[in-house]
Amino acid sequence: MSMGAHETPARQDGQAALRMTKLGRRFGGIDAVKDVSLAVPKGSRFGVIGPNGAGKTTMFNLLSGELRPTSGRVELFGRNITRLAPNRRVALGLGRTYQITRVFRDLTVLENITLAVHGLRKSKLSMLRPWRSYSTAVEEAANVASTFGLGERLNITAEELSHGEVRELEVLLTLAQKPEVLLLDEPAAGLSPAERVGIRALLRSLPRELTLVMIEHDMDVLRDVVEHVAVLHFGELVMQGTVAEVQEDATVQELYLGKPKVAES
Amino acid sequence: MKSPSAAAALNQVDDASGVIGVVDRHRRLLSILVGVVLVVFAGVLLGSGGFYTSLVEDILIYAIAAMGLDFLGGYGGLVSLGQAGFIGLGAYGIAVPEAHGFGPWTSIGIALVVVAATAAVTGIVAIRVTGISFVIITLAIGQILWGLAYRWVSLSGGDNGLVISGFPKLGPLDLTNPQVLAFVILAVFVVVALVLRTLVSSPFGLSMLGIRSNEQRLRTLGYRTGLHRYLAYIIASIVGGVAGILYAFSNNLISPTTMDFSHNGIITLMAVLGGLRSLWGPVLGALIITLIQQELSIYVSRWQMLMGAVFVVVVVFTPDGLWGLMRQGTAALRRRRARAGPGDAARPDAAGTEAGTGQSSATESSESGVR
Amino acid sequence: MPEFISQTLNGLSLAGIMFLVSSGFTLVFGVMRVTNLSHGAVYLLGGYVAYSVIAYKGNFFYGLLAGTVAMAAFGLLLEGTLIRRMRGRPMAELLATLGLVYIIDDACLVLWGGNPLSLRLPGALEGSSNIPVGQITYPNGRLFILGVAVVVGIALFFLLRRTRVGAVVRAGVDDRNMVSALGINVRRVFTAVFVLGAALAGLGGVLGGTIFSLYPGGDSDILTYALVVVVVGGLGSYEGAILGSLIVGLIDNYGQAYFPSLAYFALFAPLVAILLVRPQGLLGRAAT
Ligand SMILES: Nc1ncnc2c1ncn2[C@@H]1O[C@H](COP(=O)(O)OP(=O)(O)OP(=O)(O)O)[C@@H](O)[C@H]1O
Ligand SMILES: [Mg+2]
Repeated sequence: MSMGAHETPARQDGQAALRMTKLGRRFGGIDAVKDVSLAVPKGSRFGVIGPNGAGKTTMFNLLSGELRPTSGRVELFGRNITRLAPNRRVALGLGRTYQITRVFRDLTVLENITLAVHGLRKSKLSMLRPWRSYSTAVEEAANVASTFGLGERLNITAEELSHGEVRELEVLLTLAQKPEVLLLDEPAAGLSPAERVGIRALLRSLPRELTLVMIEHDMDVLRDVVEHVAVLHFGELVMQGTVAEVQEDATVQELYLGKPKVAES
Repeated sequence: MKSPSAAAALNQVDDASGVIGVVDRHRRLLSILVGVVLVVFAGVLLGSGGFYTSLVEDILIYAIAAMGLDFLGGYGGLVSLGQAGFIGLGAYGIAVPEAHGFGPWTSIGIALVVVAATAAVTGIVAIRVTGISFVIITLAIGQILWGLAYRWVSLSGGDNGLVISGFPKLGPLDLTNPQVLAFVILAVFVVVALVLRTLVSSPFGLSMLGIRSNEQRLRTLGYRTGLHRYLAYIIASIVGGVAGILYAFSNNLISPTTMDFSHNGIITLMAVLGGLRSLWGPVLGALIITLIQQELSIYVSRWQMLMGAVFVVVVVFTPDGLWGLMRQGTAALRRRRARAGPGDAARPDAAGTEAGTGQSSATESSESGVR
Repeated sequence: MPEFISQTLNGLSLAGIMFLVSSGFTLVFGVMRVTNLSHGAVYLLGGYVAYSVIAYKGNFFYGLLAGTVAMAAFGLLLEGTLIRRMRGRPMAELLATLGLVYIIDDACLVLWGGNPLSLRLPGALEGSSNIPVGQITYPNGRLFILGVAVVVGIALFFLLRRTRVGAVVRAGVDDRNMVSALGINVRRVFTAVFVLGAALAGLGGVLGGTIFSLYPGGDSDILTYALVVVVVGGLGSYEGAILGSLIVGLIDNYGQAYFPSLAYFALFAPLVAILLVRPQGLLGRAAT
């Protein structure tokens, strides 16, 4: 699964896939992320929770490179990537999805995923043959779609998909690049429980060797997928532990009960 | 790595398009047929000599330029208002060297180099922005090129322009002969159309669609989108320059008017009127507007007003231009027909020929890449 | 030195006309996100209307008023019909106004012919006065243009900065969602801004007609100036239009005076520099 497109950084066993050290980001006078130190072991599955505005998405932006941290560092498989451009991080096997879906709305599902497949290859610049004749890439795209539930929707444009399917496509775009570390930002955001069925199935079927960090408010979805949970509050890491531990923790309950859990905007 | 599930998935592609697959295939045949008929018709008119020859030549030349513009604007979302500038550049690229004693073939080479180099330089500025700002910048670039032609009198002959003196000759291919020239223009048109068709359906073309749709996401999928926009800008400009080279030989004269604001706008009008994001659209637009310009203007003195009005109406009511309107029409018709006869006899046949050949269906639908 | 001062004054009066035209363009863009490519044609039409009224009434100021008011009315018509129909489709709006250019230009050609027409300034404005600084004589007409531009500039500044209406317009530039959230009648604000923009273009046309004369194609020249100004200053920024006009007006004029062969490049030099260093313009906000 993890072969192919990306350059494989040198790594040792037992090393953290992703390590944040005193990571921080200020906006004006506000610390959106403050002094977060967290190691995500290879192959582990982390959930990130916290009230709205806790800094979860900002933390992802720091990890993916879309924002530069104001302090601290980020390592991917032991390599310092704190100042690396986003597309370079993608090439190193770090994939992410977006809370607000960013699919190619007027392209078909197959076109969407094929774009992703070409993304890490030189073929993305090739001009001489129809993209549909690059059969490995197209098959790979179709394969990704069918493995994860959109196989019957290949020729439908993204804007014709249901909300739930768009959420799935959002994840598939990244999965098609075979990331080794996957950051999921509220993959079920904005979906009713009924609409979540598809995306939950997709999340459950993610390959086991994938290192996963997932922001999610919904405890049921979290329990499906992750073992560990980190809790952010006002940009700070307030606790981490197993799903059960975190759920029973008094401060966490306060955090969420004080401000009732919001499904998502 | 042809895994069974992938093959299954691709068969799904067929199933999804199965109902309309055969109609689609006929449509493809139809569109090839229409293309061939048009080319033959153009050929007959071109061969007839006289007024219609130059009319068809103009249509073809502007169609080439508009197709180039469409590649950038329709597929990449970067609508240019400077395409006539590159027509002018191509034409002056012929006229100026010839005035300095270079032969026609050398001049063609110089013209291509000048066009490519200018595109490469202006592109650095143009790709700094997208959307509305891109339109504005290309307008400014067009005005610079026009201003150069207008004011650099010692080189360009200023307002009077320059006459084209030499025509390339290669064995029987003698461009001094208007018939031959006409067919060369037709041939270049066909070649450019085929090249652009390949381009828009290539992975690079797909990336242009991605840029238009959501550039930011494409960037986080590993694309250097600036590079893609840059290359597309250069390609579109070179296509404009090629149109300009043909213009020079067809018109025998190049003056700044050819590349003024009004002409820049007209090429954009052609592409949009006909319909962006399809290569037939700009051809249709070039046909209609050139006809209004040259044919209707004989009877209606206010042809410009008419052209503007037609254009405004089309932009207001049909976002995808006339070609888009026709496609919508046929699609609606197809849906009606599909509903009327679900037991379409051709269907099993479709499944039979297309099963297991995912790739053939892939090229099939890439046909619609030339939307 | 006197030469330099009068060239500077020339540059400033040119900047004044650029400011009148580009501020309207940029306000309309900033508030409505409408790129009005017919803005130059409206300038030309305003000048032509003034020409006819002056010919009929024999008074320049009637022409000035008529050109401005007529274009305000034209803007009202345009906004109420075409622009409103296309709300929210920026590229379609841009293209529709491009089509409009051909209609307006052709109409002008029918009504006023193809020969350049000049607007003559009345009485005292036609003469020149001595300017104490550097002891030069300078045409009153250009000083008048400069004066009008400064007055309009200050009036608009106060309108935008100091009044409730202005606050709404500015909020529209800064945060469109907030305006709607405040329950302000966005539609009326849009109409008012579009009418104001057209009126400014008309006024610019009348004043510009006294220096440049009016001719077919004059609209695209002025449109190019305005576009360069707003890109340099920052699309949608009023202060950017002021700054951009000054920069472009002065550079263009110095260029024509001192480096006539390079003049055309002088106009675009600031454009290129800005795009390479700060694509959103001097006072523009990143990302639209
Ligand atoms: N680009 C930015 N500029 C200024 N402030 C920002 C920016 N991005 C985020 N913030 C602020 O940082 C804080 C954290 O925001 P963030 O989006 O990371 O929260 P979140 O935990 O993802 O919330 P949610 O659950 O609503 O998605 C918020 O106060 C937000 O307003
Ligand atoms: Mg978030």
